Amino acid sequence: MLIAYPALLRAYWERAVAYRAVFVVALLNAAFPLVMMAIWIGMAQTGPVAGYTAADFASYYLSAVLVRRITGVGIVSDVERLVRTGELSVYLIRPLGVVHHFFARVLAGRPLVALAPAVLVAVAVLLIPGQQFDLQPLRLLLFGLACGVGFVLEFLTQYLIAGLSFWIVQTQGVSAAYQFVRAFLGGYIVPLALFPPTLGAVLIWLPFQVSVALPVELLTGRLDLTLGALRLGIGIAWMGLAALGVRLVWAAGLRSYTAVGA
Amino acid sequence: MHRPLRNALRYLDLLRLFVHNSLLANLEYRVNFAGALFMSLLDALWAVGGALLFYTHRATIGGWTFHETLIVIGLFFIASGFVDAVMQPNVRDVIEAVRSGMMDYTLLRPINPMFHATLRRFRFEKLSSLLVGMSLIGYALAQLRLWPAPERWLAFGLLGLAAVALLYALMAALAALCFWVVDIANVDELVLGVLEVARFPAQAFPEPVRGLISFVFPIALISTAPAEALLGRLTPSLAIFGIAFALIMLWLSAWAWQRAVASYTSASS
Repeated sequence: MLIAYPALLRAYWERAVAYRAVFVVALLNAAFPLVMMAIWIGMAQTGPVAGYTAADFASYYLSAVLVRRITGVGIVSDVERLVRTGELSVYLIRPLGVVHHFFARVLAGRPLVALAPAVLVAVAVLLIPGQQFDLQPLRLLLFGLACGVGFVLEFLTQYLIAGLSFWIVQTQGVSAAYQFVRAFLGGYIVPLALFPPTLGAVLIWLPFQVSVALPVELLTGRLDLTLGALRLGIGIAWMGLAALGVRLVWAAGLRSYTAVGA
Repeated sequence: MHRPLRNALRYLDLLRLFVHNSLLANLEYRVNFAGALFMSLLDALWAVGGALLFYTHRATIGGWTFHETLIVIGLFFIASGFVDAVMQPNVRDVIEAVRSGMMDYTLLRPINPMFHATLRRFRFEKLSSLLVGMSLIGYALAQLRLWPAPERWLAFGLLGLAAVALLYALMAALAALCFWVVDIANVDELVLGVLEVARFPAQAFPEPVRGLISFVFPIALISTAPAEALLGRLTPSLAIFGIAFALIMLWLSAWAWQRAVASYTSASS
């Protein structure tokens, strides 16, 4: 496996470079949060909104766009196609599990996917007046961990949803619905702090907060480290649950899988 | 009968035929309707939820109350339904036809190529957004206890038509663009991304965005202007600007198509 992974990563990196068009799609994905950002900034001109000034909103949403690129995954339609067409069989006879192929592929594409927004955010950070980011080493470490956990959790959740395609046809619909909920309740569309307090207190216990809200709040210095560590712990627990779910669903799915064309 | 009139009737007949064919094709996949409706409802929940969050922090935003903003959101859904049902499938088809050389067959037909290429395929399941948008507007009007006077409805209708014309012109121009730049598959996504700005009233945005979307690249015409017409806030000069702008864009897109077809060198020969 240690030998296989570098090779897989290299192969999928080359594939990722070939499909550079993802940049534009990345920008499109960012359209709605940026619209929300603009409105909040408009509102903040008559005074801070729940403690957020215009510059705070700008740094929050720009970081959110960046973090979403780092932790966001989109594999459901690909896996679904493999199952539907029977191409999955090709992967099944390979010595390494199917999950590793997909994980390596997503991981290899990561630097490229994150690059364009990273440049954008860096420029914006220089242009926004006032220090909006907290870059202490310990905080950065926690930010990195949160991104890692958020990424793996995202991957596992999508792989779990994709596993449903052994039984149902509309997996992509389920996936889209999940994306909607995740984006809204996970801090991508609206910072969790701007939800009504009771709702916000519930949201930090849900898995959605891990992949965007947590890293962004750490990076912008809005979250103290102990609460950050607690929320990271919540994320790790969800990650374990998701891994268990993937194991069960895929084991059952592969048992019932009769390849098309085989 | 006059010749232009007969021509117009012929094109209307053709349009009816295209709609009929698309409808038959769509009815083959009836489950898609339910799926699309579900997605539209989720999207609406998203948009209304976002607006609700804004209004927990402020009573009015850019002079718009929550229910007034709902009208704009409803109009955005109607516009995006039009975009998804008409614009996207046809632009995709044109890109594919130019790339593969199939456009030859469209150009050979005794019919305006712009008309044939841009209004041939419809995805009726995407009209679910239309339903959601109209429900939102109906709900908002009921909550506002407002039944607009006939002249407001007239202004609303005219500006709504202008918005549709504007979107159609944008689509046609995009499709024309792919005669020169073959791979614009992502450009149309980008333009659709920019349309997201129409989700909320133009006045809610800070300057300079507000000025840009009101006058320079008037996305405000798509949702804000018709809503203002309904609420009786639209000044006549703004109404005239909106309608004139839409007409100019229509004319420009037709011109772009003429140039595009003239410069077409088939991929197959």
